[in-house]
Amino acid sequence: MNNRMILPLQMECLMLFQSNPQSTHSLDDLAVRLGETRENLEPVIALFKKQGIIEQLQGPGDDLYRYREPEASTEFEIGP
Amino acid sequence: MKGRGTMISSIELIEKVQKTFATQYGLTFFLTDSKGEVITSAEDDLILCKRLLGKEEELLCEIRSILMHNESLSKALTYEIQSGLFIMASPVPTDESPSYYLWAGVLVEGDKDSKQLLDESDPDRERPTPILAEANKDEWLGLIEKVAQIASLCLRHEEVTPVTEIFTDEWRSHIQTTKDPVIELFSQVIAAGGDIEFLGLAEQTGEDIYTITKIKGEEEGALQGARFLAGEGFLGRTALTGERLYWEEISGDRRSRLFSSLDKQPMFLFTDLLEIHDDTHSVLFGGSFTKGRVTDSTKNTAQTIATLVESSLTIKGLRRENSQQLSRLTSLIDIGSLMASTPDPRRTILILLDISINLVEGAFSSIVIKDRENDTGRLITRGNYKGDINEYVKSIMERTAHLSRFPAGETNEPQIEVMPNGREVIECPLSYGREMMGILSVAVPGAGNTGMEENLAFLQTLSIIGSVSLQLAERSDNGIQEQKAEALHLAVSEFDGEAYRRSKESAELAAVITGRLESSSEIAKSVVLACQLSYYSPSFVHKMFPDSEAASIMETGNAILNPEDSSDTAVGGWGTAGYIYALCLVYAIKQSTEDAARLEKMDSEVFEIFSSLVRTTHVTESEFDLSDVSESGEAKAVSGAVKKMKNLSPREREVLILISEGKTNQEIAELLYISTHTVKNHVTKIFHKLGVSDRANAISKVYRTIHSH
Repeated sequence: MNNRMILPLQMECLMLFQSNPQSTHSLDDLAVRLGETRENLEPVIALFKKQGIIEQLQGPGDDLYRYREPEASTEFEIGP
Repeated sequence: MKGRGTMISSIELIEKVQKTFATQYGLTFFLTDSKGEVITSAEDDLILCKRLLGKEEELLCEIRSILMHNESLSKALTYEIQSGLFIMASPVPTDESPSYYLWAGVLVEGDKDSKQLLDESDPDRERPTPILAEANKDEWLGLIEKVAQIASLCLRHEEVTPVTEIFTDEWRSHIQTTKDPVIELFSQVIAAGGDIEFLGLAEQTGEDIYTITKIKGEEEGALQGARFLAGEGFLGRTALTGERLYWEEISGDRRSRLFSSLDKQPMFLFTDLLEIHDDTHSVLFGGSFTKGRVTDSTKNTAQTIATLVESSLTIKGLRRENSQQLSRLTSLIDIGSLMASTPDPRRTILILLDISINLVEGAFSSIVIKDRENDTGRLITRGNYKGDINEYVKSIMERTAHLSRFPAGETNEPQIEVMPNGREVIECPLSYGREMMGILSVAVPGAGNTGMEENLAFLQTLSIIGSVSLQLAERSDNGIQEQKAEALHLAVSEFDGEAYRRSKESAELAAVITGRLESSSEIAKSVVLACQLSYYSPSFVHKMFPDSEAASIMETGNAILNPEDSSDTAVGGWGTAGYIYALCLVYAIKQSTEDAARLEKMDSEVFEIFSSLVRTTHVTESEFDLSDVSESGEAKAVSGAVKKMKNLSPREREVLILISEGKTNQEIAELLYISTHTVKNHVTKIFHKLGVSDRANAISKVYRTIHSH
């Protein structure tokens, strides 16, 4: 699948992670929640991991994934 | 469908080809000879076709004229036969000069006359009439050339090859249904029993890798999914060179090792490279296990199959593209609905950052957002910037005049910029009307990023929805916080009327004082909230307003008011706000600042300012209340009292008058054109001569002098 094809799935998956930032999800869990196959989810998860949107945690069985908040948030003066 | 082996004439076959493609593309096809005599009828259910045929003689005159003046018509061309109505013509290829021509009608895009023509001719049209534009002209011409090639094959050979039978209603229906038309075509060709015993298609699945995705014939299962590299074996050769090749007597040839897993080995093979709509390639192949030689008829069949498969895959690609586009837009609408229905700034920022970085498959996205109330900005990033991010923020600030204008000047459209680290970035302004709220930036991965135009349009839509959502969130958040604070404040009046009065008065005073002190709006709001909710404990206030600093201000203020309860001698980070809170509360209870002056942790300077401001405030208020003491009257009284203090020098008297008016050392320095250092010297001498230790007592002494006289 190319990026254009998986974008809707990416969005759905992102919404799920963003809505539950503290929860961890296995690939099977995501597949059930999103009504998708593991095969279709794998490239989405791989891309999210690469971009640092989610982190992988070692679970007792399957690997688990959790949302990562954006890494930097700094405040600065706007005035010239 | 005609039965297998039934002979049908070439003309009938061409008519079926015409009809198949006419239905698929909405075109009107017909064949003429070189003199413009119609060879194949163009009967079809297309309205445009009917319209053309309704003026058949007129049309044929035009066609004859074209042919007369284009004797050497050797390639496909377009010709405008009426305003806005174009016809395409292609010679039917033959070994000698062309004796047949294929014609097809289309409508030009964006022309008012042509649209009007279309509306008049086809008011209830269900099928879209094809549009001719500069961008798709070559594709249309390529199509008519292909159909002309098929017509040529039908005309050239009296022998009806099995593949020609495939131009039937059934084949047409296969193209239009969800069944795989390529597999259906392969099945029908093999079932027809010609020389071709197997057919397959290998699709490009990597830069140089091809995978067999469609295969029909004996032992098809063994080849499904087999892979080869460009340049490897017979199939790889065509993948590399793009040549249509026929390989004869190849039994035992090592180049056919792709087939080595089969029980039977091919005796001949043909291979052809097909170009697909999305710029990928596929290798079409077929052959026989029993015959080692390729007849001309089989070559023609192979050529026809290639044309059909290429057309079919192109149609499939176009359909998929439309469906993907629709799906993306649907997702965008879903996201828009989500952001608009539950406006939450945090969530909106996350969506903008994460969706945009995914869309372009980039490594970095960021949002610089303006806090309009505090004149500060906030930077939130996703991914790795690779460099000093502050340099980039600085560049945004310079280009947008500190987030006060769009990077592109008048327009808020997204722009492609180069960041200080040398990478390209798409910058989408987040705005509300003409007002800038911030910038969403998405780094673009290296060169060759496809679909940039599409991504720009998508990101623009996303940023517009995000901007509206942020605006809604801001309004809704402010409204909810204010309502909640008001409700909690009002609740106090139900069980403690005096506490309600005190908190109300202290909050009003805090609003005035913070305004006079030019405190930031965030601090002002927090101090007012702290005063309103002073009846409650700081921990409860924190629970109810976790994003507000009101609870911290209350804690600081309580430590100032009740030093005995606080083991910590420091006032904490909310000093000034805490002093204001404490002073407002004390003043609301006692209606005087005297008690506050005695607080050991009270900051004398803040207290002085507060006292003078309270006084000024009350004077200002009293003016509206038509009080008997006017500002000028009070000023005169102060001036008169100070003049009576003979131990002070004239300059010290001037300074004392200004101190009594609540002026700071800096303000006094500016008013008297002297340095603050000199002012401090004067102030020290005044305190010494009056026997007081601070400004409040100095002012108090002045007022006592007024009242004693």
